[in-house]
Amino acid sequence: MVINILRIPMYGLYYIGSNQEDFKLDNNFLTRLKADYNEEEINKIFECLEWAIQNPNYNFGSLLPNLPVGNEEIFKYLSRWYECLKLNKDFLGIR
Amino acid sequence: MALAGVTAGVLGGVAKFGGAARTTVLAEEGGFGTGLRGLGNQLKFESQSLAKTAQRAIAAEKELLKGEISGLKSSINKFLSDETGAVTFGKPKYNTKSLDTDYISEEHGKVFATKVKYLNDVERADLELFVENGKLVDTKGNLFDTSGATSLYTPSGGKAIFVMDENGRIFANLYQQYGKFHHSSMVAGEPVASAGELAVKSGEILEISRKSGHYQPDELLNKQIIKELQRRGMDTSKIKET
Repeated sequence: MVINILRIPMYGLYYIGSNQEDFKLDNNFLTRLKADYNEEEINKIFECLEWAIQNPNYNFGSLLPNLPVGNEEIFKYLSRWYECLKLNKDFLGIR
Repeated sequence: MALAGVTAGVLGGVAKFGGAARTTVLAEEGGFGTGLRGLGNQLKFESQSLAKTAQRAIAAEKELLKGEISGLKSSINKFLSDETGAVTFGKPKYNTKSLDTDYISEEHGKVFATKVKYLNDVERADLELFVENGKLVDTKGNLFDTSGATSLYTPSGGKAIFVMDENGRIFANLYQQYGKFHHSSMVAGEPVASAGELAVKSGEILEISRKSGHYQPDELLNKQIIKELQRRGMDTSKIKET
């Protein structure tokens, strides 16, 4: 597992900041995700998200040191990603 | 042996001099006048035919080159033009900020675990923006518009990512693909004089933001794109800077 790939979902926090509620993980998001990344990449992201929610105390901020949010918010945000991907496993081709 | 020697002489003579006179002299020396004169004439005809074909090919090549030179002249003129181009030689260069060290070697997949695309000069040129009659246009002269721009985090669209290099050349792309295409893609990881997002409607810039995770420009750095746009004749008074 290459944890670096968590930087892909985390990078959005540069744009979202603390306004997580404004960021919708809706159908548009899923369609775009599927267009931007192949199944192998999505599976790797999912695998790392799965690991992330089991390790809430990991210093996620160390992956992207200049993010404008703290570790707790990063974890909350990654949890949302995980739940969304888990719910849409079939659509995204997650094994 | 003598015949072979003469024939070789004829062929060598024709090949070397390409002329009928030399062929005739050699043929008479060998005593095979008529036959060799025929051979000489045939070779002369073929060499003339080949010469014509070569001339036609050269002429066609010249035309192609003329077209290419004309295109290059046009590009150079646009490049040097104060009104539409990005740079006039002799103008001071802008201050720049380097790529955040966290992203070094991203093009090799060492940051995101996916490879970030770094454009070469030709690919980058397609993304360049110019100012014409006070409005932002693309390389084809069409009014630039970001209504269709999207990213994973702005699926409703509306903003393109942009960078300006030290020479004041502005590049923008309508999409950002995390881990694959970022601000750094447009300058191949080189320093930038401004970076962020552009919201543009029919060539009119509505907003310029400083949002770039890779370069994290401060306000001062992004003032430089405003300065450059003004230099090229754009009214920037209504642009929202965020």
